[in-house]
Amino acid sequence: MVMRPSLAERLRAVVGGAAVPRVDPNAAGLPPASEPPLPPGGGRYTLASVAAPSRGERVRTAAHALGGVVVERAEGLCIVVDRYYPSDACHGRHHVGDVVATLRRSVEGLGMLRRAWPPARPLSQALTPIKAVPELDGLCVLDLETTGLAGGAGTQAFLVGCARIDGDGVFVRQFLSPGFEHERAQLATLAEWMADRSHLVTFNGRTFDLPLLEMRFSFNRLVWPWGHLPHLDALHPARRFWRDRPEVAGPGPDESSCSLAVLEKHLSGVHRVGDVPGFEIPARFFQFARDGRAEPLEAVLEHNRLDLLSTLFVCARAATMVVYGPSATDSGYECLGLGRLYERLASQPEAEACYARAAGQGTGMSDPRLRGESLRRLALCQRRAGRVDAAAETWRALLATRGVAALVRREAREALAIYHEHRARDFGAARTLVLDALAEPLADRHRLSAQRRLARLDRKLNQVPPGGLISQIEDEVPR
Amino acid sequence: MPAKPISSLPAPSSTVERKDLALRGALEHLAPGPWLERADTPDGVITAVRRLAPVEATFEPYPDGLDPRLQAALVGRGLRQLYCHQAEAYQRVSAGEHIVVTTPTASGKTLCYNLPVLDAILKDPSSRALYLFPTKALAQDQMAELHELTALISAQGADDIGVHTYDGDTPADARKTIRARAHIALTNPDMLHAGVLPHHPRWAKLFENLKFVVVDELHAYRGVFGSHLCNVLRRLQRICRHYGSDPQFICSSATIANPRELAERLAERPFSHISESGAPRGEKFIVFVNPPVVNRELGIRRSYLAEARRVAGEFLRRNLQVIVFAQSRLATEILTTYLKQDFETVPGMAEQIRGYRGGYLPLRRREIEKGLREGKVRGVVSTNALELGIDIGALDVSIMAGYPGTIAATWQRAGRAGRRSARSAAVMVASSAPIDQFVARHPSYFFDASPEHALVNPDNLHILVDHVKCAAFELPFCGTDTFGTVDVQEVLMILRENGLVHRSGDPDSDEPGQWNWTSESYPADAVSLRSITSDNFVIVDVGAGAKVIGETDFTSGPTTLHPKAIYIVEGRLYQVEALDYDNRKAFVRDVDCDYYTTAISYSKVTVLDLAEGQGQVAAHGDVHVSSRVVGFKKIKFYTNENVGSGELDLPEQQMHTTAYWLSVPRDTMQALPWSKDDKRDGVVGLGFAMKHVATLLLMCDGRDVGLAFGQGDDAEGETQPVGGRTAIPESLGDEPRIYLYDAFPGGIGFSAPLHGMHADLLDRTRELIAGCDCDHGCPTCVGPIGETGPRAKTVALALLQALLVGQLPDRAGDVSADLSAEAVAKADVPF
Repeated sequence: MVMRPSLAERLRAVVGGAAVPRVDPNAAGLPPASEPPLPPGGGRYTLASVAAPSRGERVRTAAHALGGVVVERAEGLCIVVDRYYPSDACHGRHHVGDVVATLRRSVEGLGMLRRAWPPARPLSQALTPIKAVPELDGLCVLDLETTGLAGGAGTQAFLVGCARIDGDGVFVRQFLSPGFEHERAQLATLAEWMADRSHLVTFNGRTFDLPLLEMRFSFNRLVWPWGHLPHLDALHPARRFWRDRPEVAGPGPDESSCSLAVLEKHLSGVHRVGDVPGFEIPARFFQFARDGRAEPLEAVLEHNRLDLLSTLFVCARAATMVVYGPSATDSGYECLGLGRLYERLASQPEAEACYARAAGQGTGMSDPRLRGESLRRLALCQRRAGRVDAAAETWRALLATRGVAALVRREAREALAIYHEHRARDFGAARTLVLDALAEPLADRHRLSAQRRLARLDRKLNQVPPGGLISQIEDEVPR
Repeated sequence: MPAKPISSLPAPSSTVERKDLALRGALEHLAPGPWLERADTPDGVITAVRRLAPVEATFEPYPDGLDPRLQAALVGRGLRQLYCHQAEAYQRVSAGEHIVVTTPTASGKTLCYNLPVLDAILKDPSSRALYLFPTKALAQDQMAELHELTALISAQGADDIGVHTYDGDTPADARKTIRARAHIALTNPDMLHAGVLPHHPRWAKLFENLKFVVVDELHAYRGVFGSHLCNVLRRLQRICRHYGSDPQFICSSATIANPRELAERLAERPFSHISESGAPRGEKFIVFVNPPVVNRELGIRRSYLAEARRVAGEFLRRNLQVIVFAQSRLATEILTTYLKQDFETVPGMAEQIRGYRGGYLPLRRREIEKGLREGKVRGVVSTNALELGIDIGALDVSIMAGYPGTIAATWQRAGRAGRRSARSAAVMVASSAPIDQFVARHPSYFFDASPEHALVNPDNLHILVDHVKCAAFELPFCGTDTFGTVDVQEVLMILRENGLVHRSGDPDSDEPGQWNWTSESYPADAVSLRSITSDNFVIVDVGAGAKVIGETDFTSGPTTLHPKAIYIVEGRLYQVEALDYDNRKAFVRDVDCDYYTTAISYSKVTVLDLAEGQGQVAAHGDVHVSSRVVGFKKIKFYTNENVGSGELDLPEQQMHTTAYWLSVPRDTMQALPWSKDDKRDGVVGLGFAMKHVATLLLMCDGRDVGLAFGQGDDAEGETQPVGGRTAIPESLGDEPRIYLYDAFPGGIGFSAPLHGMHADLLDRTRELIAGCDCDHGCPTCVGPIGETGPRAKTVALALLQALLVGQLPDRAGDVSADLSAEAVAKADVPF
């Protein structure tokens, strides 16, 4: 007779081999960087209370290994790690000081970017008046490292990184939870330090970082302090400017995204060495929670700091373009993206200037797609503004460009045919355009409408004299 | 069947009178002879006609404490007073009790929970309530009713009451508003499990103010689904404690034997039971139809679908509104087609007959429901989709094509017919399945017995562990926490071994510490409430460009998806070309053939731990089951001829579960005057019949119980115990055993109750076999002839006789052979 297994044995059989990957205990942290200098008047950030050795020896050791200190509160402990990046520090091929200076020059650009993508607000919340121009010194860049990407009550933000402009450098403070039971202390410390901030900047924070952090505050029954802060999610402008740009969106499938890592490589020439891959980050924290060894976390902290800097750099580049207009860029794709951004801001003339420049840069060159799209948007802008003759001219220029996508060409032909039929009353020209359109493969819906137009044009061409108002009404009988 | 207009009836003076006359006419036509106070005729086609007398309403005035705006709104809707059960529900809930209400269909059950909930919200607008329905459609239906009521309340000057459904169909942009504003959130257990509880901080407002949890259709939560629900409710209550709320439970259930026990088991709170209905009911007739035998030798009866078609036609052509319940989607479509054909000649009639099942688009379903309420749809053929409380009004006649499987479901379906004052009828047409035949031939089993017990086993380790993971994700466990009856600290310890949780806190201190979830995964995603493990096989149609056409659970994968198996989806046949066992995929291709396949499986049961019944005939306990599909047979459609077979070599499946078993004593076996082979056939036939009766007694599906044969402990290892569908053991030795095991890993609580019902089980099995019309055994009793031996039926009956009567220890002298089996069963014999 088989022995009845014990509860533990039966449980093992049920749970069976669902083991999570363990981090190699020898996983290297980054080589210890030379101790960064303290900010000018660094005393401002000195932390008042440091943990008593009896309670948090393990945590103190970890904090020391990471170059941070321990904050002790009634709720628990929090490790705080500070770094200052002075103006002559390098991030890729740029100096931190130059980027700060750029941001100071184009600070109203940040406000424009934010207005182009206003936050979704709960209906009940009253709109608080927002200053049009953010104060650069009140700005905070925020980025989380979490125990998972799925969200939900079991996903924690074990590391919250914050960056702020300080003089002509950047100051980064990171709040690390030294264990699950210390989350409340971590959040409370964070909230205190954030109290004087007036603007938030994130990369993909709108859908990920901020909702997750809000959930953590509400999980711990703490008041979510930043519901009212204006927030710029740099992902949105980044997509506009750089998603379609081939030289940014690298050749490999991994690089076709608009991720921060891809952007920083192409915008600032940052090449990370020994960076921890994102999927490994939760496991490193779990391992730290189990064995208390902080060294594998050093790479996670460094990863987070680089993300913060890159977010700031992406913002600086985007803000510069918005403020200085199409002349600030040599890239047609950036120009096109800028035009669309101006359209969102209802700045019609600026948008048209951008499209014109983007289209001009495509002339005779290898990228008809860019020229086609720019001309199309330009024509739509002109038509919307009532300048139909200019629009027709643009459509014609579009049709004269080789290699434009069939979809765009069809749209252009149709627009021109409408122009010739109803505005210029040049039925012959309209008819030629429709015949051209019919000569190409068309979706049923479009073919039908083209045939209908052709029949109508033929009727009109045979009518002498051309019909008056009534025939025009008949023309536009709905399909 | 052509429909003839009825011209001989006298002109009716009113609709009610006309319908009464029509119903009488149809019943007299169906069951000629006396049909009031008529005796049962088990051998006839009409085996029973029973009359349920009309019942008057019992009213109560509105309770004093009720919010006047709510009362005014209800009065405005025409409710001048409450039924007594509604008033009682209000009073008990006001007194802080958890309640479960079991009153018949259409007795105003929903007001039992809406009344106290709306009253509480009106008195304190911060109050919140969570409603759980087993399906999305029910939640939608209930929301429509609540909206109607809250609009009337608003008209009385009250603030708006937010009522919203929250399920997989809720648009993402509406969710945030619903979380903040819904006073009443209507959802289903699956959504609560995967979409609400894991995100509880977003629902903080609801959980902080949660006053009521309403569980409608409680009887739907039995077996695996119920065991899961219990754990979901444990998690819900854990989260409520975290937010400082302590909600009251209000449950409603169809009539089952143990509603209060089920509610207490699921919510783990004490409940009061409200069963006295104050709602009126019209006179109702219940008729059992058993299709006539067409081949006595093989025990074959006329098709029950054809019989159901005939019966439905009788009522439909008398212009009565009819609902027909079919057992499957396929049967639904077939019957719909038949009935439409029958009424093609009547103008407009074919369009008034509709089908209704899951898989129809919601819009079409709403249209049919509305048509039924308004009387525009005269006949509907439905799966059990219309059994639960979707509002379709009350119809004249309910016809069940096939026994619904349980007494509770039968009453539920019968309740779809019957207005409060008019006469109605319910007709059950039995199929040739053993259970159907048993019920049709023993009407008093149905009419006199209490309905079934709903069983759950929330501490099944497979289910429990999954929910401990989810719970740890939602809130850290404390070192002193409990969760169910299993030591949760031990569960967490094992989860720690796998790195899924971490125990934090100072290990040297006395503080209990806490367990945190340390995995990136979102555990609720991996747990389906409708099955025991989320591991399943997917079925890929390679003929249609590798399209997934279905899935099946892990346990039944090998028996239905083995290579060369015929797999049937909505009447289309596919053949399995390959089974990728490791990757859980079956590749199938569309075929045209006239047979289906049935797997031959081998299962071996080993007793691990005896819970009760040492040295006795009946016992139960923990067992280890290993089963393997060793071959298959090809069976021709319609004739059920065996037209071929094949061998298979598939991996063995093993599980730890619970079982009830019956050991035939050595003396009994030796005393039987037949050959060894005949005796073996008798044991196998007995097991076959017992399995069917067990599913009847347990209120479960046939697939929930497994059957295997083996030998007594002494003979361990000498012969191979063989079971399954057709793998007849070579020999069962002289002390054979019949195992009925719980077919879910870990067991969901069938074995102990089955052991408790042992006497009843044998008794009913004897009734089934003895009452069967066949000569030597048929699929309705001991198994198809040709598979069981020629004497299977005789030997099985002799075995039962010996077990029920002949085995009385020490009293054998007093017991005469003619002592009725019933009397012995009731004497609680210590077998």
